[in-house]
This record gives sequence, C-alpha cells and structure tokens, in this order.
Amino acid sequence: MTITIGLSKGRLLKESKGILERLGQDFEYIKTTRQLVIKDEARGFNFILLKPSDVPTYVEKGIIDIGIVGKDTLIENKRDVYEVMNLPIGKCRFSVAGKPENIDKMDQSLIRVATKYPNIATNFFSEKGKTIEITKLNGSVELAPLVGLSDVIVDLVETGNTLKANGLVVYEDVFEVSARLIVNKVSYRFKDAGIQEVIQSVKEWEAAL
Amino acid sequence: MKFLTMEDQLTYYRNKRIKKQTIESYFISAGFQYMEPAVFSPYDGGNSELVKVIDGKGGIYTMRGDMTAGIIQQLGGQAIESNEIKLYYDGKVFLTKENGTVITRDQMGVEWIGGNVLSSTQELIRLSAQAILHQQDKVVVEISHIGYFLELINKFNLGEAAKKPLQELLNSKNEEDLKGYLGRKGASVDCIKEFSNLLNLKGSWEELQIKLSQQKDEVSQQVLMELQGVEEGLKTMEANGEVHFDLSIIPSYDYYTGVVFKGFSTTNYKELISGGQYLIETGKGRKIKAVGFSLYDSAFS
Repeated sequence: MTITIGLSKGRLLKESKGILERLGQDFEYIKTTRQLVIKDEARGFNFILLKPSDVPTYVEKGIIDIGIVGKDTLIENKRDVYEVMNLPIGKCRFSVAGKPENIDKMDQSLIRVATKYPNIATNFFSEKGKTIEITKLNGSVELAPLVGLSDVIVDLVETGNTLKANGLVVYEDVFEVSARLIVNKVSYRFKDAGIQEVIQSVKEWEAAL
Repeated sequence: MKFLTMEDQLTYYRNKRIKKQTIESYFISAGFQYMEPAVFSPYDGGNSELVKVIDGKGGIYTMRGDMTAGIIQQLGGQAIESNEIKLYYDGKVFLTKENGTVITRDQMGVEWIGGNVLSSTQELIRLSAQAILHQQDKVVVEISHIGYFLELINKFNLGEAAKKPLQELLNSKNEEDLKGYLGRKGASVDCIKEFSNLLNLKGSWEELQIKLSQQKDEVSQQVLMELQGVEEGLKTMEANGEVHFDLSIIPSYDYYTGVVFKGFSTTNYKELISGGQYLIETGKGRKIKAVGFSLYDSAFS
C-alpha cells in the first residue's frame, strides 16, 4: 500500500530534511528536482511538492495521506484533517507589530489591521474585545503601517529582522506556531499500518535530535 | 456547486435523488416511517452556528441546524403509546459559517425511539454500513462510547465550558495540543495522563478490550460491557465492512449519552455517517432511550 506524503515547498521543505532522510529519501534530489511528484516504489511512498497553503486541501480531499504543514496555514485555512504530531520545525510566532511611536493605537476604539491572516487577526482582537478594520494583503505586509494603510499588522515573525529593517516593533505576541504532521481522516482508517510506520519514523527522528 | 449547462445540473440532481431513493428503500424495508421535522423553532440562546430569523412580530426563531436535535425538540414531551417508534427523515439543515454566510446541507437518517436499545444500536450500525456500502467498495464503522469522556470531565471537575475544546482536540488526534490546553487550565498530571490515554484507546475489539480491562473503575467496566453487547451483534458484518473502536471519537452534538459511531468509506474522503444513543423525554416526564444516525452530503454526491 502506497503512502502519499505532501511536502510544503520553501523553508519548511528545507527543515524537513531529517524527516525525509529518516524515510530513506535523497533529500538533495527532492529539493532540486523540478518534478512535482516523486515516486519511491521500493519503499511504498509518493511525495508531492506543494505550495504550503495547498497541503491541507490535498490532505482533506484524500489525494494525499500525510502532509507536513505549518500550524499558521491550518488555522487560516480550516480543514477537516487530523493533526497527529507537532513537529519541532517551522517554528515562529504570530505577532502584532507597528511603528514604535504608534503603540497607543492599540488602545483606539477602532484599530486598522493589515494582515495575510484575517481569521487569526479577527479572533485575536475579538478575544480582546477590540473592534478592527481588516485589510487583507498577500505580501510585504510590513509596508502597510509605513505608508498609513494600517495602524498595525498581524504577521508571522521568525527572527524579527524584517520588522527591524523596516523600523517596526512587536507590540504583542499572539501565539507561537510550528509545523504539524497532518493525516487524512479516511487514510487514517484504511492505511493505518503505513501511516503509523511513518509517524513512528518521525518520532524516532525527533527523539534523535 | 456551479454547472456549465442545465443538463449537467439536472443530471447531478437526478443521480443524487437516485442514491437517496436507494437509501430510503433500505430504511422503509427496515420498518422506518417518514417524518418531516419542523424547520423553525423558538430561539433560546446558545449555538452561534444556527441561522436566526425574525418574524413579523419581532419573535426570534432558529432554522434547524441538525435533524436529530429538531426531532428531540419536536417529539419530546409527547406521549408514546407503542413500545417503540422507528422514523426516518430527509431534508435540509441550515448553518451559519464563521464569515456569517448561510449554508445548507442535506441530512438524511433514522431514529429508533424506545425498544431494546442494544439490539436497535446493532441493527442501526448494520443499516448505516449498508446505506453507504451500496456505492462504496469498503466501509469502516468506528464505534465509541461518550460515557468515558464525560466521566473524565466530571472526575477532574473540568466543567461544561471545557467540553467543546476537549472534544475538538480529541477529534483532531492532537495529543500535544491536548496536553497544552489542559496544562493551561491547571489540570493535574493524572488528568492530563488520562485524557492523553483516551487517544490510545482504539483498535480492534480485542485490542480495546485488553486496554480497557486494565482500568478497574466502574465507568470503564460499564463502557466495556455496553460496547461488548454491541460488538457481539456485529460479527456478521465483517464480510461487508470493518468495525473499529476508538474512544476518542466524541460527536460535536452534546445530546449523545452512550454508544456513538461514525462511518467512512475508501471512495470518499469524508465522514459519511454519524450517530449514536441519546435520551428523549416522553409526555409523562420519563426519559426513554433512543438511537439514530445521519448521512450527510458526501454520501449522496
């Protein structure tokens, strides 16, 4: 029985090196190939390389049995999947940030928020009882407070260097996130043995860190 | 769903109708009679997922969001003359999404009120597998018991508010987030250990039996006994579908009181069936046992 594993392209793929090697894969080949589907018939794996935000969709639809994806993507794109493991990769945090001199804008009756993650931003400010006006952006979110599009931004912060380079500071952390191993609900029943073997391999890799 | 042509759209609805009629024929053959649950009921606060409407006099009503909940509300409090009532339904439910938009879903299912709840549960699990097996090549029915989860909530005084988040965390199988949530609530080490252990109480009947028999408390033994009663009646089902046990399956509706079950198939990526045992109040204030299950959109598409 073949197990199909979805990999998030980009930073998370690089950090998945140890997991892939534990599964007997040639990481350098997976990283550099232009193929989107890589088959390992001997070990019974298919690997599919995807944009991170598409991984939960493929897993939910059952095209992929197991996926490696950031918790941020799961929260923003709610999908009906199992999250069977928290992985020690893809670690970063969601933060509210803005210009240092504008920190008092967090106390305004209406806060203008720019973000790529409107659900996360809405939930965070809603729990604090704050009314917000959301502007959904697709990239370079740091620009928004600099040009007056928003009072604050809600974004993923890994090192803080991008914020610093643009003269922004973190006002408040929302929560920390890391990558997750997700599994399709039907595969979890019908491919149980193969899936448990992969989970066990990932646990062994984590234990050896 | 968007269709390019009228013919495509009509074909889609025709195929869906045929599937529903096939399932309906199973229900009728098994002795269930048709019922139409009410669409509107007076709003009594609570569930934010329900669609609210205001009538001409300013009264607030909710549209049905779940057929079983509607039937419990509609039939509850009425007298029951016979030993048991077997009914089925087929209709739309209405829900509000997080972004405020309203969605409709097809929900079809059966309710068996009164009678011998053990044999009716066995029969409904078999019927639920039959309802999806006619179009699928392999079916798995997973069986759980809500009593174990509720006992842990009570035992560790976690309160009503903890039910929903714990149910979601258990259903997502995320042990680490489950531990994190309980840790933030100040739960004891024993509490965290027992909830984490819930995720391991799964497998074949033999595996579950071994795991549960190690726990000597009264609730575990009661759960084991009730599940054993159901399992014994399902041995003949093995040829058509598999039966698994998983005590971390906690339905999102809180009316369930005992054995619960879900159905999955190899040719569909979603849960197709959800059901279980619950209580319904009769006219004399007596609560009687009932069991039912529902099929959702994916089972007809």
